[in-house]
Amino acid sequence: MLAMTKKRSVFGGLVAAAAVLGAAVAGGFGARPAVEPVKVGDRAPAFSLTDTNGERHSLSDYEGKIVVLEWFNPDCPFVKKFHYDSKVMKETHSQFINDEEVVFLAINSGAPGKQGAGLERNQQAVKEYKIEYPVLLDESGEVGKAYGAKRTPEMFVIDREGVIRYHGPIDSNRSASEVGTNYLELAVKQVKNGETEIVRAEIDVYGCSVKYAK
Amino acid sequence: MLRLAIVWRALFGLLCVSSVTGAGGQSGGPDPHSRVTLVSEADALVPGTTAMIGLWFEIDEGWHIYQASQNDTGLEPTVEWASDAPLEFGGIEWPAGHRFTQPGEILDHGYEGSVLLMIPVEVPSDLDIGRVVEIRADLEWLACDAELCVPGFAELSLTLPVRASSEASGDSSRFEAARRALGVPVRDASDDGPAMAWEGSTLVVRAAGDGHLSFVPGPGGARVQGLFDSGVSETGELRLDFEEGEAPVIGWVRVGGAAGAESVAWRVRTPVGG
Repeated sequence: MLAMTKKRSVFGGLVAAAAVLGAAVAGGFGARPAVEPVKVGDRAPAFSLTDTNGERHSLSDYEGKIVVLEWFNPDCPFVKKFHYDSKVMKETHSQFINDEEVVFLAINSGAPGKQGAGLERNQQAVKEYKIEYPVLLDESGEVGKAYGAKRTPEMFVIDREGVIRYHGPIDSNRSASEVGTNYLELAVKQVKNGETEIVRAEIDVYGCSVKYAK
Repeated sequence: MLRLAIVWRALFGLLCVSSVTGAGGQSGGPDPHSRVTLVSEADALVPGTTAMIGLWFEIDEGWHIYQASQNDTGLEPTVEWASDAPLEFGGIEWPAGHRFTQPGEILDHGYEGSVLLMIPVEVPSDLDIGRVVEIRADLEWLACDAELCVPGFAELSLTLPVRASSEASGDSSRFEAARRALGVPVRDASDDGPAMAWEGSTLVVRAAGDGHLSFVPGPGGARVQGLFDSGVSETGELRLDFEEGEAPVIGWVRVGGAAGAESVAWRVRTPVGG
């Protein structure tokens, strides 16, 4: 029996900087128990998080806009599929980059010390992957749990009224290497057109686990 | 469809396909902490019969690969088959996996240590005796530990002669073990296995033993609601709420297995509601 493997580490250079950045899920409007994930048609939970440049972003800052949330971990192979191995996320975002009505935000809910977590690693990743939208750090995991985000990547599209209209994968191919139909692009375009019956992803969200603390 | 697997392979400069009778070779990308070979239960293909081949995974300690199941994350092995003969490849016969949980109520099912994923192959009756057949598998899978996930890619090859009869190969004992891992069917409460009763769309499972019970969903079965909590019990009773619909209950009830003890998997296939 012959077998050969060539050892490589995709995760070389992993830096787990323990940046303690504020995260808060606002109560009242839109808030839900952390154990009960939101569904399509629900109001998007409010949040306020800091990005890798130190800027604060609250969902309420984007009232009246369409907000695309992407759960993110730069060292997850499924995230790399869309940001590094292919340019799917760059191309998808670029279609709306001059559209003031559409906002993309990535959120990393990885706990300090976990794979792909921390300010320094995510600052590197923004440069390495040439991400042109904010990457927010949610090290407590509160925002991720409020949305019921379990995977990276995992996408939510929120309409102008603050209602979740799409929750699903980026594409239709549950592979770490091959890209399928771009559900995200379809969903954003439909929400922009004011449609409420948005493309239903034919597969569940797939990817790495969000690296929560506990 | 963009074939990024090709890019991976080119990027890492690796392609190693072996071609030896009764065994397979592997190419890989970044170390997936698991190795896979293509094996055959018999030493030859017999025209007009169903042969059994398998993907034999050896997995590093602390790492696991995925079963096709009701998983929150991960990716079960997927394979594209090719051959120079008109063979018909069936689907993977998934053995019962184990639960893997992570913070955030993340639940997956998979295998650790080693596992053989069996695939039935229909051999046409008019295949010429005496020829040699090559089987090739283009494979992708994912291995994870508590922290990291690494995709694996392999191109495997197996050559087998076509004969009027066959003998067991050197790997046949792995196939015997894999058949046991498919689980014993639960027929009724008179079996040694767990007792099952429906309360509406809730399946109530009771079993003796150390009280440790779990339910491992199989591929294509009805979804269980709240599986992270409801799929495991220490009291000897499971209450499983299934989503009503066309899909039947497909999966296994694992009995025993507390504190690392051996467990027994009982195969369940029944319509939701009984």
